[in-house]
Amino acid sequence: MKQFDFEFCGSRFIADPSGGLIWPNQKLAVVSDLHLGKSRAIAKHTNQFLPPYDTTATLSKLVLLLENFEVRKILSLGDSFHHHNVGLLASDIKVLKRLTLNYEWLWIIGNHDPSLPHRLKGRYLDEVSIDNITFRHRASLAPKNPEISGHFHPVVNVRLAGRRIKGRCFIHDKERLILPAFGSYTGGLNVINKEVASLFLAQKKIYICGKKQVYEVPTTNLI
Amino acid sequence: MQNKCELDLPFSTWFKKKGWEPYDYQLELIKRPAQFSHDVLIAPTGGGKTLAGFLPSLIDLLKSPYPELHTIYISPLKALAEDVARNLTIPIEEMNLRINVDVRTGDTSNHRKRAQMKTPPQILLTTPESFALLLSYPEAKTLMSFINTVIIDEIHAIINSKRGDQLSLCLARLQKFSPSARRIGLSATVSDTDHISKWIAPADQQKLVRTITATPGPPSEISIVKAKRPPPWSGHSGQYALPELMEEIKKNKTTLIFVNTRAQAEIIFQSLWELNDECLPIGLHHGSLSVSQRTKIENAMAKGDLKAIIATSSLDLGVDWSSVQLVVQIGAPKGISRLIQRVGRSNHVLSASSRAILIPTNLFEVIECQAAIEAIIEGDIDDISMNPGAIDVLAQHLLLMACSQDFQFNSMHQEVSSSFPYRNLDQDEFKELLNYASNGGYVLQSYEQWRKIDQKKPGIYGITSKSISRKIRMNVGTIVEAETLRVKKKRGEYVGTVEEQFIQSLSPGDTFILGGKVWSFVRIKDLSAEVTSAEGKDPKVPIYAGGKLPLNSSLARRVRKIISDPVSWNKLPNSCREWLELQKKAAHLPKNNELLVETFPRAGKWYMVTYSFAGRNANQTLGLLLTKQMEFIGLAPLGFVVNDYALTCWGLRPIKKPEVLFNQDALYDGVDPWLGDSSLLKRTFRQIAIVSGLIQRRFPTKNKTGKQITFNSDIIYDTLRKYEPNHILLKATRNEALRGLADLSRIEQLLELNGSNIRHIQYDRTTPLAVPLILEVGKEPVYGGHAEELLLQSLAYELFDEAKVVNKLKKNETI
Repeated sequence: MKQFDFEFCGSRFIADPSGGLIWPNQKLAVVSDLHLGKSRAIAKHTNQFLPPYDTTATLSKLVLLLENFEVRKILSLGDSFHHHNVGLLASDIKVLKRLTLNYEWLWIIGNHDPSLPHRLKGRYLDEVSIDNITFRHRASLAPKNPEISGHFHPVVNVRLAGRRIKGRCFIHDKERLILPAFGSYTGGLNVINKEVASLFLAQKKIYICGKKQVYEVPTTNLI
Repeated sequence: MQNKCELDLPFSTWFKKKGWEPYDYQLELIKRPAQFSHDVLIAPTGGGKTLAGFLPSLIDLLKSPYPELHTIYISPLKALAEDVARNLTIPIEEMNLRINVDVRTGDTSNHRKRAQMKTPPQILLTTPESFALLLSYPEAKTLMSFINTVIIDEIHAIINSKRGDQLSLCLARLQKFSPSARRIGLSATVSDTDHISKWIAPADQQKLVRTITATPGPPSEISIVKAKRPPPWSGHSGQYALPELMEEIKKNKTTLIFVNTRAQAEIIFQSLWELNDECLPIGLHHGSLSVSQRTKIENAMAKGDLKAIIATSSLDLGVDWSSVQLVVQIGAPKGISRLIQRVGRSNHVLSASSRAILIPTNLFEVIECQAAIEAIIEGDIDDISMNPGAIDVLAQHLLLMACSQDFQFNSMHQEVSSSFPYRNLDQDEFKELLNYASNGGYVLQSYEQWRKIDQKKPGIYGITSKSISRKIRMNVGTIVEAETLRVKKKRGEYVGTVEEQFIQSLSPGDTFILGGKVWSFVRIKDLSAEVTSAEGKDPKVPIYAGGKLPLNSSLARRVRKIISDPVSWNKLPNSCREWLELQKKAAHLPKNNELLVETFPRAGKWYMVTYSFAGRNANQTLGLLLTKQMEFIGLAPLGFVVNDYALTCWGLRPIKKPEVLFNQDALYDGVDPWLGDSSLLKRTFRQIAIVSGLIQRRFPTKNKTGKQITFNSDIIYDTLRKYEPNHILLKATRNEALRGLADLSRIEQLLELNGSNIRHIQYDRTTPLAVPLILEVGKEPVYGGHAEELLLQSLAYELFDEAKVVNKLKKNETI
């Protein structure tokens, strides 16, 4: 697997095909929109019984990410839980609790999870700044500092050889970076949608998550 | 016929008044010999077949007043049900019979539906979906306990589909309420009678079915168009023959023009109007137009106001138009039944022979058209394989039945397996399915508290709440359309539907055609596409998925025979004969008992063309298997395209020994993970997930967009495959998607006889026979399990190259 490095605000970052972001100098892993417990919340509210393995899948993806990089801190950019009232299965809680013991956790508050279930270790914050970069759940309209956020679950469509390929993506310009959703059952918002597009300058970069690797895509002629 | 049964009064006088002589089969159906409980009537379209089905009921109802629902009539089309209702009222009113007839379809108002429950009509006309829905109400038992007859119209078009599975299950349920109900199936003279008579009866009454066959009418006159210009090598537009088509339209009172896809319908409609100097009224009819537009066209047609109408399968069945003098089929017929059905729509009276012209759109289709004409003359029938009942349909059925009343495990299993498609369903499978329907059926039981079906007493199951019943009823139906968007004008007037993927390829201001008009795309708003009228040149044509029927194997055999036998070519048009002569001279003609494989280089890539004549589905499966094998061996495959007759795979390295690729053990080895990743399985899973209720199409409050469903279903599929590979829905997905493999058995037979049945020939360039398929490369989507990742990698290379160029330029600037 080829590692995908890029520069943002003078620092080197790694975009992982899982949707996680690594900041090597800070030994920090950033993930966004885990939506843990989504299948159970959906079952409760709509009686649709999706395979109940989304939380397990998301957590094992996270474990793998942490194994592949030298990381001490985890920053979860909000919407870590799909619904604050629907709990996780005992086996998933166990994995999650172990992770919170082994790493220093920063939980950013999102719109889905104003409060977190299961009394997990870590700091709970609306936003946090590290080395002049602010991390928050949803991009602010006029950020003072460079910012990294989530919330929108950006996806991009690329037309290649007459075929449309759709994938989660990282998108950034010189002052803003938005992460794709890390959770397994999360849908996405196309980056050409006004809500996302209006946040970025014309000079921007988009990196699509393939199955094995991250690839940069041209930002013109998106569909 | 000796001992001819006569019609009683008032029917005999009514027939006389009309100047009609009852057909033998109409009289036959009135008789009810004790040894038969059910009937299948095979008769040509429009020969009083529907009336024949109703006569026994009308006579019975005349004899004694009946305060209950007596006869249920089921039609595959809503429009047909309405039409039959109108036609049925004529004899009832003219003979002054006291019989109430009512219609219940998706278009019937709730008010009317409630009234039907309170005071049932004697005859109810409905569709399979509405019938299933009706059975899901607690009142169903009272309403359906006195049914005398069930009539299933156009039964050949329903069986062997998911709708047929659903209907069969519903008939099993009705059987429980009215054990002595007689089933009458009405079929066109097209299909395998044996299948229909097996399907129609409950499992224990297979021997009680009587088959009545009407004397066939005079043979049809079918010919291939004689056009000045030759048909092209490939493509599907049929443009070359439109001047001749225009002439035929002028000559005939009304011409009914059938095409195979909606895109074709739009294109031909557009081009015909360009030739239409006299402004003859020519209409367009297909499934993506709004209902009001379709009704308008149908009514104009019924009044005889139209000179011609271009239609897709939307007009295959049903409504009779006596003014149609000529039927034209543009594109390959694909199956014998379907062609007979379509041809039969002209001169809709039994005594007159029907006339039809076939317009093949490319060279292969010319041969297929000739093959179809010969097949009809010689009385061939299509090969049909009867598939076991679909699991997703049964899941939906169990949920619907649970809404109506609690059921006992064993008796429900018995009921279900009395239906022909489900006759082999064992108890374990049934249990697994019930478990799935109630809580998702996962090993990890995480949804117990929210389950839909509950065990109320030991062995007794029922729905858990009324709100769940509502959700289940909202999601009835076994047809899953591709995700579509409604197309609307600014003021909200509804034009039709297009697939979401097509709209996503448009930028504001782009033009496209729909319903024969040009529209300019404005924006997507509230889940519909807003458009304005436009005049644009070269409008795009929306592409609709599906609609591509595979070539029936019986017809395929004839196509292969014609190609292999130069003596038979004299019946073919010149251009087609020249093409085959060219292949004969420059290359090799595929023989009946061999699998011809050609390999050749082209534009830096290596191609392999396999002439399987196995139909589109089988070729697609074979393409998946071969490219998988090519990758294993290191031949760097890039993709493949198929048509009904052949497939071509291509890659970066020469394929020297195709025999190795076709080795059966190797072909199937490691196929599971590979196929599991294919888009074919993902598409199939999506449909199964929706029909079986895993994903709901509609909610009581809001409509879920199609977009979300697709996206979710792929992820759900991947997750399920990883964590619970033996889940019932995955098994169902595999079984359904791999039906194409059944057609592959013919290729297998060829291979099995003798390993040397593969006839591999290497060429240094594209052969004449391969040209049509090679021309499709780039137009058809590329398949293959890992194609997406490969394509993305190519993107990485390109960008890398671009970066190098940019760097170079910058350096030059600084110097």
